[in-house]
Amino acid sequence: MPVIKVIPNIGLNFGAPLNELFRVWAEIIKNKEQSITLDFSSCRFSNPFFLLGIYLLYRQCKEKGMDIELNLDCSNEYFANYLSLTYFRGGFQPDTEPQDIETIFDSYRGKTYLPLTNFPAGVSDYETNIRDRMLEFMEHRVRERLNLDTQLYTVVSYLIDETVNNIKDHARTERDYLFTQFYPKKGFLDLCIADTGVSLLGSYRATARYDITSHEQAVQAAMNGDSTKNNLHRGFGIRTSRKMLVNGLSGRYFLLSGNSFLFSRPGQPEEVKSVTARTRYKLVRHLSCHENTDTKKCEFSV
Amino acid sequence: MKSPATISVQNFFKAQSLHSREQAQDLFVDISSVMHNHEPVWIDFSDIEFISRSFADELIYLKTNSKRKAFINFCCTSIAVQDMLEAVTHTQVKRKIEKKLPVHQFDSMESLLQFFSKI
Repeated sequence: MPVIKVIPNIGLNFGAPLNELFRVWAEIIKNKEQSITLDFSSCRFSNPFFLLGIYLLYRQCKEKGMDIELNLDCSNEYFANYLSLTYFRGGFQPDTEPQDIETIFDSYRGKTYLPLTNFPAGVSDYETNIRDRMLEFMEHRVRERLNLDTQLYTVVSYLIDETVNNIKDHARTERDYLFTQFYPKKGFLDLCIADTGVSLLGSYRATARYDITSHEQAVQAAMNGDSTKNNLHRGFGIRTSRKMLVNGLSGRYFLLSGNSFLFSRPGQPEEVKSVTARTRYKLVRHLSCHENTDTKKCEFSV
Repeated sequence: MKSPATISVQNFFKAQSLHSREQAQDLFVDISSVMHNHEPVWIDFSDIEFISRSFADELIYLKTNSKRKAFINFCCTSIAVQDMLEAVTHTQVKRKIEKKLPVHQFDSMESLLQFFSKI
């Protein structure tokens, strides 16, 4: 029975969580026919970028019928407490406790993190109302904690809302996930949004865009504002978010869909990266940005 | 003389930020219900701090496609709200096509992990 041990300390370099996530992912694929335990027992430090990714990877494996379990019996009391307070096991689900959304987010006042939130991605009045309320409270907590002025609050809210709305409009999924943490000593904000929907390629296919045949082409098309909707007025979100974060705030933008991802950082030429190695499980859309509070001028970088 | 119809967005939603296309659709239903022929209606954005691109995009789209669009006026917008309304108005008129990005292929998990270790 393979035990895949998560490394004790996930570094804060931008690529460190990705490195560990893809290493674990490769191990899971290698052992997919057996009972697997993802072992967090030695963990002392981690971050939303890794934890949200591994959480969704685990959920997808379970949904596909794999025999996989989590060992969250951590010897480090601080880390065990962190996993509990951030609702790592199932995520905070605002639709199951709608009357408590404000209270729950209020309870994180003064903390550097907000709970891993697992919220509805549907378009019914009820789901829309829950999601809009949740975003309102969450964005105000972030604004308050980071002491953002109106301009920066607008930018952070834009980045969150645009991605959440993209998922609702295109991902054909029931749930949406958001996990964020502020690192005051290092001076950045880690903002991660993800879903386990049909991917960008699946979204184009679902609207009969058969001219787009690969994940790499789908990322290119999405970057170009090529909407999956017939209405011309839709689209553009990814391109604008990426520009706002990277060009406007010197941040780093990472978007993963299927076996392709877009990574942007200031001063570097952009590329779509594609993995030709065989992979079966996918994560879709993962955004991370970093904010430097020392300068009060968003410098979104590590 | 009758005073013009005004809808306070803040009162309508009891919120200071607006996030979704559905909210814009709800607002437009209300706008349509108070509109009478050749009488202007003012959409008052006082105390609204943030509107998402989706909300703005949907609102501008609905207004643009309304037969009475000339009578729908937005007022008391903050700079952030005004900027967002102008930005989506611009993109609905003009689409900018970006050049295709180059593609880098990773042929193994090792090369991918090596890339991540450098960023």
